[in-house]
Amino acid sequence: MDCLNLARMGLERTDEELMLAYAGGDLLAFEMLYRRHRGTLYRFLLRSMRNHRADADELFQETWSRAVAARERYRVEAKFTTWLLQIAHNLVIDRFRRSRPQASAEEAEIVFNQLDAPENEQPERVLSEFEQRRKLQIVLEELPEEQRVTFLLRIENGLGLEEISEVTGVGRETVKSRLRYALARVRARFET
Amino acid sequence: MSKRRDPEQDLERLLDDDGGEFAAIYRRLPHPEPPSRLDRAVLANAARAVHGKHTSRGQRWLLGFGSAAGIVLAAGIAWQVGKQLESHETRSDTNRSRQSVIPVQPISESPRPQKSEPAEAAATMADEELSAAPAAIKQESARQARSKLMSPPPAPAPAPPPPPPAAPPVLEQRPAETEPAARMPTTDEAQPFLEKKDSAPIEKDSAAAGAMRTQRRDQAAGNAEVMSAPKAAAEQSRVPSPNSSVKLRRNMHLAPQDWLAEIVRLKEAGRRQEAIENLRLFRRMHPDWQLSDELRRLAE
Repeated sequence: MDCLNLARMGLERTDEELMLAYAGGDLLAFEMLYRRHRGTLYRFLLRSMRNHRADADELFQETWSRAVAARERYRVEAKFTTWLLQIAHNLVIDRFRRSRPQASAEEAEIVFNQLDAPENEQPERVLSEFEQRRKLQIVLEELPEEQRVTFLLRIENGLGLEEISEVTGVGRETVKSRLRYALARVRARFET
Repeated sequence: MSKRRDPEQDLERLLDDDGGEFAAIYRRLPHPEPPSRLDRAVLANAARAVHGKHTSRGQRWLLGFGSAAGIVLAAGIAWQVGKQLESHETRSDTNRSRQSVIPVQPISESPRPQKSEPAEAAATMADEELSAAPAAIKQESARQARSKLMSPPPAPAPAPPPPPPAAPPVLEQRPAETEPAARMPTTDEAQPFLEKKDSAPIEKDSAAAGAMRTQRRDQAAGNAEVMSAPKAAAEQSRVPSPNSSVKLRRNMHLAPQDWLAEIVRLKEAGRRQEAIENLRLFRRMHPDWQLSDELRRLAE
């Protein structure tokens, strides 16, 4: 069986089917699954860890290890990406809790209030594309962990409110609130 | 006029399919990929998990089979050993009965106080199997029958039997007894001979019974009796008879002084070999005990 056929087989099969196949001992299915999700998972972890590569590498490997170890407990009811990101998110949160205390919500509130300032009071600046990317990178690193992770799950992994709620284990409204705070900070950074 | 930014509007744009302006900027960010060493590690781990699972199942089976085989092997060995022990015991019982007969014969001929216990037991068993004739008559008739059956008469012992206290050791009597036993006629030969004898019915019966008893004892003596006299003597010197071993075991429980006294008594009674065996065992059990010069010489 050549590589083209394998790739076609992989494309025809959903993540869930591939995961079930791997749980049944099909290593090829896992390789396909891994190739599909390795990039997005890695970037999510890397940016969640404020671009600390060593941490991201460690968590990336650990996430896949746990997915491998839990393959027999995987059920199709859970979407594979949600399930995988849930594992990754738990590892990220554990790492944050071990490293330092969470950023207070008050701090975010101050930033959020700045957004309410009249538009004429905010500096109008046209940012170059490079500067925009740089600012986004900086603001992502500055966001409190919960907001950053929620924001990343949306813009990196493309999850909706329900899925983010499922991954992070909080309510839908909490997810919306975190996204609002995160957007306010980003906006504030872009407008300074 | 102040235009305020609407956070809800930003959120709606973010939740749009395209993700809004910030999502667009984000997509233009570099797309770091996991290093290839991570790819290798993850894939290797996944492969190990799948193959390791199968290996462990195989190992579990191997372990199960190995355990079962080990148990079967152990049970087989135990069974074989038990069987061997059983056959060995049977053989040793037979040997004991053969050997125990040896000292019995002279006892019936010359009453001696040094009658061995196994011999007594064997004789008792033989007597119980026979008819209830009076013991004296039975012994007498048995002796008569035996004396007629044995031709030529038994060769005299190398040393004449001393009086009861100084009875010769059992070992020294063996050659004298083995010689006639080897030439014992069979029951068929003995029976007509016995019938020729004119005597009272009771005497006849008792003579037959005595002959049978004698024959049984001699048959029990078996092959050991067939061997030549020097060979038998050598064998006897190597392996202590059950008679002496019983005494040895009994003597082991004596107090050291009593045991030594017994050894001296044995020596003085002319039972030198028995005394030496006792002394050897005594020295093994009481290595620190100071022996007298006489006993030390005996031991050496």
